[in-house]
Amino acid sequence: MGLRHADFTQLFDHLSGRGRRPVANHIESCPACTENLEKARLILEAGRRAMKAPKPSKRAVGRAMRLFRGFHRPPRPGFLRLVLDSFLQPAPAVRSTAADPPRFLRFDGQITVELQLTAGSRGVDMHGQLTPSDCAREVEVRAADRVLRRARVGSEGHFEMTNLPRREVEIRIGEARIGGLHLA
Amino acid sequence: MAQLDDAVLLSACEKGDESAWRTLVERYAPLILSIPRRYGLKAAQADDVFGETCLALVRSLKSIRDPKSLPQWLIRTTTRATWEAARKAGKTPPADLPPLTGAAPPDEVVALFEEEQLVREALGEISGRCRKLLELLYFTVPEPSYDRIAELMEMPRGSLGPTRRRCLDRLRALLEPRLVGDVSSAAERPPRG
Repeated sequence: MGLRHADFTQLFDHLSGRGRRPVANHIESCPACTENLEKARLILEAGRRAMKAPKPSKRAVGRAMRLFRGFHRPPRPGFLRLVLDSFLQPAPAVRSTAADPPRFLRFDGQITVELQLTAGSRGVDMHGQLTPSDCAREVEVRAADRVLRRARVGSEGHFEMTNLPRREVEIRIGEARIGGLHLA
Repeated sequence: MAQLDDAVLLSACEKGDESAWRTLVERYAPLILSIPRRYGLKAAQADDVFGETCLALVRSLKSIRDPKSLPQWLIRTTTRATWEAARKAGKTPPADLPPLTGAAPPDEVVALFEEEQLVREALGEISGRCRKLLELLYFTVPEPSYDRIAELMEMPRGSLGPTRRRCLDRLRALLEPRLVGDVSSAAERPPRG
């Protein structure tokens, strides 16, 4: 007399080494059970990985809560809000196979600023565009209350800076500001 | 708020509800953190990836149109941040996982972490005692002996078998049809030959 097909419990027991020999023999010779065994294996392995998943530290949860509060707080006067960061997009609008793909950022507020950051030979190269194009004549990059670089804004709102230091900077465009931008 | 689904939580977060955000963060933190850790990043680096992903999520609350796709969205966003952090740290990807690139992660990577999250959520929905038994019987490596499990569960050894069957049936019901398929129907068919 043949055995019934192995059920979910028997498959789990088999995978964890607790199965009975006749059931094991049946599973080995039964294509339907072998197929189901793979499904059970997938669950077992996913469960074992899930058990190993780390718990978030208090620091990490605290940071996530601060991010949320910061986002829902009205922006400080003059500061632009980041609305796009290509490095954080699940499916980047612009894909690159390069080792160091350019990073695209967009900030909105009283004006719009789009930035493209590329790894340069001695730092970070920045190419930007302002909308409206005539909102400022000059763009300033500052760090620790010191002007690091200034660039003139072209007739179509474009500006460029090369070899900016890899550090946290603030960008000033007239009255508008972008704060805490990490150039890396 | 642990029982609320993602659609309700996302909507509440969009309105600035901090407790909804906390629930969402706690629900998905193990998933988010498991990705950089599996790719060999240290705990502090994984925390940074977690922060980047939370930042991306808080900025994208309005743009996630299908809440059911949230786990996939998080996996894609986290793998992207993991790739970036691993690249900066000069980390080589582990041999048992496909390497990440700056582009969208391979489907098999998304599927791997999605399966893990589905099982995690299903286990989270099972009562505490049942969950503990399944964890001890099947998800703990190395597996403890039956005697040890009976001791830890404070139940007679002879009761483990029937209880585990009920608990596994519950797990299977929660995972159907997304992960399990028709394992149960095969069990009910008469054997061939």
